[in-house]
Formats: sequence, structure tokens, C-alpha cells
Amino acid sequence: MPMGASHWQMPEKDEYAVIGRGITKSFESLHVLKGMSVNIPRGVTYCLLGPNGSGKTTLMRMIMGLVKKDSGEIYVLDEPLDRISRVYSRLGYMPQQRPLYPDLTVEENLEFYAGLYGIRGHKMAEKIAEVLQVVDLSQTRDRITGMLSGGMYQRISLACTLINSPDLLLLDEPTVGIDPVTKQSFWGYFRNLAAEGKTVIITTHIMEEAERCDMVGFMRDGRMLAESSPDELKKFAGLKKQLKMKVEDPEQKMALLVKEGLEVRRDGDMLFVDIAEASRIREVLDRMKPTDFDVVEPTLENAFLKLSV
Amino acid sequence: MAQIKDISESLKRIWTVGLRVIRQIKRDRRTIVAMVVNPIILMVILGYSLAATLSGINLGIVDLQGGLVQESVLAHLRASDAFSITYIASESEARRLISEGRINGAVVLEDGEIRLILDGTSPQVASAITAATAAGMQSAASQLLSNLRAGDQLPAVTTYYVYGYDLEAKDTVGAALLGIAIFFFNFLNTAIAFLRERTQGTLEKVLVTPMNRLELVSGYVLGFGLVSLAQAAITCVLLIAIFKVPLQGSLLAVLIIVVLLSAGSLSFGAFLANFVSSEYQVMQLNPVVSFPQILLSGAWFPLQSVPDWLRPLSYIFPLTYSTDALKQVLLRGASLTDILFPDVFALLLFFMVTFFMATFMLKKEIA
Repeated sequence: MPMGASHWQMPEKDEYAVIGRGITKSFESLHVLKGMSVNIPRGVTYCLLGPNGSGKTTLMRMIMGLVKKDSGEIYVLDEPLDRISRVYSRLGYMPQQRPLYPDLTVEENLEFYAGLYGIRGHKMAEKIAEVLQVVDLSQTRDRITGMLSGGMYQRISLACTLINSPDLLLLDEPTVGIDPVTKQSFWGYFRNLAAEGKTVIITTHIMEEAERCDMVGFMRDGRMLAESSPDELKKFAGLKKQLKMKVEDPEQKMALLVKEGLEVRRDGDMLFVDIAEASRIREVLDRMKPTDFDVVEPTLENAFLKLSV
Repeated sequence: MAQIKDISESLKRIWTVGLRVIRQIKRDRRTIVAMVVNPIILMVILGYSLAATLSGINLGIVDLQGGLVQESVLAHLRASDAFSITYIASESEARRLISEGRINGAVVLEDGEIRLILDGTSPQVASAITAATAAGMQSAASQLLSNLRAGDQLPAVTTYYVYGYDLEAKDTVGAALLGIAIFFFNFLNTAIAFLRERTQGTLEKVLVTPMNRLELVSGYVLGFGLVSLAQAAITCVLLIAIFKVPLQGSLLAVLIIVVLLSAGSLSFGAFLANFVSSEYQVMQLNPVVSFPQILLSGAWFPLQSVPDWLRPLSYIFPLTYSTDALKQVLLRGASLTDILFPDVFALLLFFMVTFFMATFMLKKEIA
């Protein structure tokens, strides 16, 4: 799996839903993408993670041909970007604003999008029932969309995005502004979709969200810092589990551990020990006999901060 | 075969958009009411205000001695509250006074002839004078019939205009307003609809489907076009049934003109939507688009009264051609072939140009 952007090699196209390299894009004098590379395998949930202004949305829209690239190469479902319209029937896009017609009923919105994909008649009725089932809103069918709550609106948007059974879903901040329960169910849908072999690309700037994805692409300042699974990324950033212990005689015990080559930090009677292998945790605990202890997992946020430096 | 399938799929997608537009309008009761009621209200108000009883018309009389009929006409004019009468020595003097704006018109009573010297720029006044003269002749004629003498003959009435032309303003209100209502309904609604597509994110989503830009704009033309057709049909029926406006030509011809005009105006709206970012801006744009057209298209004032340097504007406005076409068909009973050139041709051209621009401007790159 490629890690840093600099050692990029063209992978086998058909393993990937989206691959790109050397992508640049400027809006007038603003350079948004500066030699971006991206590799999104098929059948995963992939998170484009980065602070605001890092180019996530621009990259996502570029993948759909909504933004033209200045230079570079992108393949989406094996098609080069200039022939992207050939795969439009296999894409499902949910923009940040929820793309619904508020004055139509839920069913009419779904019928409209179904019609654009040439899904009609009997097949359409089946498909509408199916996507409403997925988002758990079968009862709202006849309600005026604009009258629905924010969470429901969002779920209907997702239902519209699923209407053509897309192979590649592009969801721009899909969980912004929804309640925790809806959010939970959304992640359930995304994982199910990936399990069915579909590729789900999600943009977010929230670390906990990214942690739920199979893969994360770290974006910063128009570049891809790294892309891999959340665990791999933490390792790649050199982050280890940390053993947090309350001990008697901390000074002496710290010296002992440092002599063994461990990285230790002290704060009062608390010691923080970085431990690479989980097997060493028990051994250290046996010898240090702490009055209290905890194992702290490294966070993606730490990894991101470390990689951004 | 594959191509036929492609075209049929494309047509179905266009219909999908058209159906959606119709459904949206169907749900918007206020718009539906406004579509039907607005032109009617305007026609009633404008029709009556144009046909209202006038008063204080300064009328010159050049009495060169006529017969019984001329006397009867004079008596009628004097009896009317509308006119304040001034006696003038000669016709040339009367013409001078009209051109100086000191009197609004003059009636020359001469043996065997009655001449009306009218100011063509005030059609309401002109028609009031014409009507009073006609009424005077009518009552004289009935007296003459009961008291016929040899050699008695009704004098000929001839009308001269100092300025402009005979406007028939009252009659043209319906024709002009129908076109104006259709144009602005479509223009405003599509401009706002396309703006909303943009701001609510549906445009982006729609562009990432098998549907292309051409189909999207076509769908709008189809949906709004059908709605306009219904609007025009209802308005025409109401005009004819309730307001007794004579329909000289065929309703089909009227509806064809309406469809062409609405197609052009909604493509124009879709095109303009590219340059605005809020509904408020659309409303600000509206007077800029509407007033010049209403004033310069010949809807209220004849094209001949538009100054030369503004005339080119008149000739690029679609309303100029639709107003003329609707007047010709509604009032003069013209057929479609009579108005093929320039009216139908110009409306078609306007549609094609704006349709192309709207499609072209519907950029995918929305920075």
C-alpha cells in the first residue's frame, strides 16, 4: 500500500475505484491542489480527511468532473477524467447542501432522480421502496420533503444518492449537522455498502469520523500526506500505545525504564511510557507495580498532527 | 437502433425534468392563481382606465356651415361633458393649435364633409372625439329618415392625424398583456428555479447523472412551456367568454405564438440565472428586463413613436414580435403564414439563441 505521496507508483487500475497523481488546480491565484495523488481501492469506505481549505471538496468534485484539473492524471472506475460522463450512471453524489426539491414529496424526489438514470415503472417502484427501507423512512414517502426534520432530510438525500445502485459513492460531509443516532445509522449504511463491494468516499474534518473508515487520506495544503488504514497511519506516524502509570518513587522507576531504551515522560507521580509491542505491557506492569494504570491508544488526531509537521 | 434508443432515453430524461417542473408549480398554489388572475386583473384595470369617460378635452370646432347632419353633430359635441369647445376660424389654424398642444383635436364641419383632425399620440382622446361625432351622425341619420328631403345625403367623415397613427389602444390591451404575462411568468420563474437548482445543490447532483445540460434546459422548456400553454388557454377563454374580446384568428395560432414566446423567455431566464446569486437580485434585474420591453415593444406605444436611436432595441425584444403577432391574430384574424416573417421567425430565433446561451453557460465548473 503506498504511503507517502512522494513514492507514488501507478497501481493496477482495476483494483482501484479512483486513482490520480500530480493533480494541480488553481482558482485564479489560489493554489488549491498542488501535485495531489490519491489511491482509493474498490469496496472500502475511504475518508478524505483534512482541515478546512485543504482541498477535500475540490478533489471530490474533480473526481466527478465538476471541476476541471489544471494538470495531472485521474482515473475514475477505469475511465480517464475527460470521459467521466461514461461512468455517471455508476456514481452517486451527495453534495454538502442536501440536493432535494423541498416542494416535492419524498417519493417525487426519488422518482425524479430515478428518471434521470432511466429507472422507470415497476423497477422504479421497487428501487424506491428499497432505498427508503435502507434509510428507514418508508413511512415518509408521501410527505413534503421541505417539512421533514434535518436528520430525515439528510437520510432522504442519501436515499436519492442510492437510487441508481452506484458503484462509487461520493459523500461530501454527509454527517454534518445530524444527531448522534442518525449518525450511527449512517455509518452502518456506509459499512454495509462497502461490504457489498461499493466504494464510499467521504470527506470530513472530524477525526472520530475518519477513524471509522477502512482507509483515510490525510490531506493538507493541497497535498496528500499519507493514505492508509487508520491503524497503519498511526504506526506510520510513529505513534505507539502509551502506558499511563501512577507509581511510588517515580524518579527511580523512570531511570530504570529509560535505561531499557523505552521512551518515558514524567508528570508528578505519573509516568507515561510509549510501548511498541502490546506484549511488553504486562511485563512492565509486573515490575513497576503501579497503584493505578491505564493504556492509552494513539489517536488519529495525534497522527495527523505529527504527520503535518 | 442504438441511436434510436439513445434518443428515446434522452427524451425520457427531458420528460422527467418537465414532469418535475410541473409538479413543483402544481404544488405552488399562489403561483397558479397569480398566473391566471394577474393578466385578467391587469386587463380589466387597464382596459377600463383606457376606456374610461374622459372630461376636459379641449376641442376645436371649425364651423364652415354644413347641413342638418353637421348641426346635429355640433349639438352632440356641445352637449357632452367631455369637451370644452373653442370655435376656430380655419382648419390650418386648428392644426397649428393641435401641434402646439393648446387643443386636443378639432372637428371641421363643412358642406358634404366632416373632417376629424386628431392627435394620434392620445388614442383615448381621439377615440372619444370619434365616438361623439359618430353618435351625432347617428341621431341625425334617424331624423333624416323620418324627414327625408331630396338631395339630402350623409356627409363623408374623414380622419386625419396630426401625430402618429390610429392606436386602437383599448383593443390592444388584451393582446399586449397576454404576451407580457407569458414572458414575465416564464422569465422570472426559470431564473429563480435555476438559481435554486444552483443554491440547493440539485444542479451539481443532476449534472453528475447521465443527463446532460441540453436535456436539462430542454426539460425546463417542456415543463414551463406546457404550463404556459395552459395559462394562455385559460386566459384566452376567460377573455373571450367573460370580457367579450373578439378572437378573429385561430386559437391554435395564438397558442403557437405563446409557446414560442415562453420557450424564448424561459431560456432567457435560465441564461440570466448564471449572473445572479440571490432571488433578491432577480427581482432587481426584473425592472431592467421588463420596463424597456413593455415601453419599447409596441405594447403600449406604437413602434413608430419610439425614437430612432432606441429603435434597434425594439427590434431585438421578443415582446415586439409577440405583441405584433398576437395583435394580428387576435384582432385582425391573421393566420400563422401571415405572420411567419418577421414575427414567428424572430421569436424562433430568439428562442434558439437564448437556448444555446443558457445551455452553454450552464457550466460544470461552479467555483
